[in-house]
Amino acid sequence: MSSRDYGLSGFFVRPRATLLALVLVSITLVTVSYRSHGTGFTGTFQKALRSVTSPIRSTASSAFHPVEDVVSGAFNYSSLKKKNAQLQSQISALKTKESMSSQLENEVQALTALANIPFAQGLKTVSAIVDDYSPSNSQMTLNIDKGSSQGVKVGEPVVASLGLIGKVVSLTRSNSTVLLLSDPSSSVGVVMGSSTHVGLAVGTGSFSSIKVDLVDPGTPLYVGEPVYTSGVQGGIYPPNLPVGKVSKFSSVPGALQEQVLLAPMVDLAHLQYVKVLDWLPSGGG
Amino acid sequence: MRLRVIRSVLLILTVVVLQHSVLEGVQFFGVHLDLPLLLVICAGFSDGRETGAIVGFVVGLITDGFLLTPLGLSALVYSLIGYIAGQTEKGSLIGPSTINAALASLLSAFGVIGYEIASRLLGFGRLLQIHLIKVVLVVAITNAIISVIMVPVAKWAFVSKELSSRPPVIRR
Repeated sequence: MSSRDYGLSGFFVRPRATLLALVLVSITLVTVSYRSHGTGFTGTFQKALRSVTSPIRSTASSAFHPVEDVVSGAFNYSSLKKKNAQLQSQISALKTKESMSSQLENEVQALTALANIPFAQGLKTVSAIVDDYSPSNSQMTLNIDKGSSQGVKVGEPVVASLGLIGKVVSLTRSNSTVLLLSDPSSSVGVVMGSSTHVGLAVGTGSFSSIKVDLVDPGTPLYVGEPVYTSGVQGGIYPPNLPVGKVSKFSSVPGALQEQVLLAPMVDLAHLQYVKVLDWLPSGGG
Repeated sequence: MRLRVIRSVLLILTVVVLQHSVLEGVQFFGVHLDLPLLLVICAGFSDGRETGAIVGFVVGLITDGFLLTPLGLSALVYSLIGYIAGQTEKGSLIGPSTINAALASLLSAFGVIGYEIASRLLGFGRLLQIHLIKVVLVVAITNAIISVIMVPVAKWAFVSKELSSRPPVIRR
């Protein structure tokens, strides 16, 4: 450290002054953004950035898809090996079937299932294709190809063929961001099976499990028990949307609540088609 | 100087596009790689505290554009990480790649934890401890490995040739 770094005047050497300025700007932005709840110029900046980059990201995603597969394969070798074995057995079964494209068949099945979802009867829906997932580790969201111009609104629930996946948290004219149930900031009021016992399903940051808080000790539970949205008055989701199945539960003596984990009803990591339900807490559909 | 700015912008854009295209579907134990954070660290390694902080701010601001957390949160954390990375001091910087890898790993861990703490303070981040540990470990290890490539690339982009070829100035 040089002698000019000592003392108060030495504190304001250029790198430190730059850092100080950047930190102050950052804190100002955070404060403005936090207080305006995503509206105002900070929200506009974020929306504009998403709108501008959305086509670039889509194009890059398509262009780099083969590379992505190679890289993904290198990182998930063991799971690919397992999947490969499964596929080998499927191939032999498929040989006996008609020579129809399996991908097309799957897509038709997924779309048919989505068109006939029993738990969204009576609600208007907007069908959408999943564009991409957030690459961030701190946020579990996905982007869909429908936005405000198609009638999508912030806060509306989003479902796949087997159940709830999350809600719309941000949108532009042509696409929307959906916060998945697995995100740690997501919470859903739920009811256990046919009982009247309620809880709060909270994301864990993992696609494969959701924990349920506030479940009373002694609540009768079993592994595989379906869990639905409670739809209590003022709730942010309509009632009876399938959320998941109980995968694990335990009670600690003296604890104020049961420890319950759910397996999501839907494979949140591999979504292709979803539906946005035209339902808002205030309107109730 | 102009060439340096163009190279820097190109590298930042390339990393952001890579993160949002190729690496979007690449997960290791359910955790995404974090190239933007590594870029910030390598910028600090390559050209000192000031460049580290500025690149951190810019990359953080772009990252914030894609997240639901308040604008400026990643910029704040990344600026600090870039500045700390730059403490290795321009000139004495690029040591053996193993030391760079170890430092990149450590700073990546700090970056992830720092972001989580900042998010929690604002009521956003709530990663369960086990998952957070997993994220920290995976990001730290993968960034250490990728730093072997990223440090020379960052040096190419952020360090001007005239400066890097000049002999170090000895202060009296």
